[in-house]
Amino acid sequence: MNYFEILITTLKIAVTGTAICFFTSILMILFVKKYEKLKGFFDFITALPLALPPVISGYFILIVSDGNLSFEWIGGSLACAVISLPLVYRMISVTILSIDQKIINTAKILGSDNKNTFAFIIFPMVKTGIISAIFLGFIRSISEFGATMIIAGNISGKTQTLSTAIYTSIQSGDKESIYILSSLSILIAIITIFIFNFINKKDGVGL
Amino acid sequence: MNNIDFNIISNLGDFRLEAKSEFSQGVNFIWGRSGNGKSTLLNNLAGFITPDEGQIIINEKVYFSSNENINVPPNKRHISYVQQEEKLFPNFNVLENIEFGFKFLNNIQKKITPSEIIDLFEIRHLLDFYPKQLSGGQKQKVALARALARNGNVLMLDEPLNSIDFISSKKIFEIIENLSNEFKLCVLYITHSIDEISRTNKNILYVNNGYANEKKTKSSILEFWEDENLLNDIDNENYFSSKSVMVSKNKFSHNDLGFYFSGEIKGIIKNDKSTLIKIKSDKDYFVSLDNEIFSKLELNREDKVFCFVYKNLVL
Repeated sequence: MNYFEILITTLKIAVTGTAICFFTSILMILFVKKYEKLKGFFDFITALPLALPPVISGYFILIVSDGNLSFEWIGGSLACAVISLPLVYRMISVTILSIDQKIINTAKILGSDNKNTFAFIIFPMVKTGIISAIFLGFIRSISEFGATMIIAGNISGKTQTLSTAIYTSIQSGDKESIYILSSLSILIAIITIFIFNFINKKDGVGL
Repeated sequence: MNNIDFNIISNLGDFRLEAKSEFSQGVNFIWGRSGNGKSTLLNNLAGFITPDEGQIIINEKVYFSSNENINVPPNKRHISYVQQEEKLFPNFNVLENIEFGFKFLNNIQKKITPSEIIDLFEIRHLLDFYPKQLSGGQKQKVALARALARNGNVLMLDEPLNSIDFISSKKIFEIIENLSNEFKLCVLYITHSIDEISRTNKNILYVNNGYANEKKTKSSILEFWEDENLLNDIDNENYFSSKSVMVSKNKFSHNDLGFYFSGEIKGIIKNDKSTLIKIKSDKDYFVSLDNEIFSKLELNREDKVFCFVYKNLVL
């Protein structure tokens, strides 16, 4: 087994998945800010992947993409994006929608235009929440198994991630690979959680 | 000379605000009970809410006009405004908070500097603190200082001295008054407090149920306020309805079983059907009269009245 290749594929799929998930969440929240009635609908849609078995979410993506994404690493990223959407969307939406309109109004009446208000007032207030959301999405993507397996499969050197590789090793009883791959997984988990907690330390949040 | 002139209608869901008034230099009070539209009025003037109709003019410059399709955004209105329970910017320290509005001004607009305001409010020792390290009163002082450093032509204050103790609030009110004289500011000052109102000699804009177009004299507001507070003092022992009492401006005698009292009218509250009057005798009595009877009697505050209460009918 080429552990390095597996690690790179895992990171590639997870990072891309987190990025897709992040921008989708931001877009949805901007919509919600503009059309408040959409909030209930978006909250519901984004909660579904959390409640459903990941296999179903994966199968749904497979059907919608008409099989075009199957056995492609980008399909795996999309699966990660869908599975981490409930976490990322919620965290960003809580951060952005909880900004006090009064503070924004205060900045405006003090003479600050939209650009300055965003740079000096809004961004510093949401910074921590947004970075945390990105990390949370990444942590979830790294550990993703079910949906990725359905769409991207488990092709060595192409779509095989840490979790699918561990699955293969367990199937074949390759204990050495299981230990090495698991150790890699645990290491990544420890590092990301450590960074996540470090970022949130100031705000008193943590995993 | 700074002044503001407005005539607006603003609908917010079920609430409708109709406001028409003008204010000139000095401290102008806006008074009314909560939920009647005082803050909504200021938010319309600041541009946080866009009125449905009308115009807002400050120093002959049109800031809003529904006819001419003008709506100057809040950051260009050049108003200093302390909103109700305003928050400081949490990521800035006190000095950065106070200087925030000042840096957007050009040199002509810079009349009073943040440093001068900091000394006026005696908050120099707080400059390095962050908002979460301040007490309620300190936060309010900083919010006021921040608004003043904006150097607006109009200064709008929505209950600015709420969490400040009486002695400091008196002092801060004096600062506001002095600044308004020195820089010819037009100050719009929302308050519930009768103590604050008693400091003015100007007429007061009375806001009631979304209507803000009537200026009242200070004494009529004080009277009204006392009347509003009448209801707190009523109990079963001192209240008589029109069925059980006879009221006259002249002394009279009666043969039925009951008791007399006489005294001065100290308060009057009217509703659609009846009028409640407070009469100060050996103790306070409250008598409710049908509006018809009340107007026939031509009663006013401070009038002396004679009352007879039928004992067997006391309700």
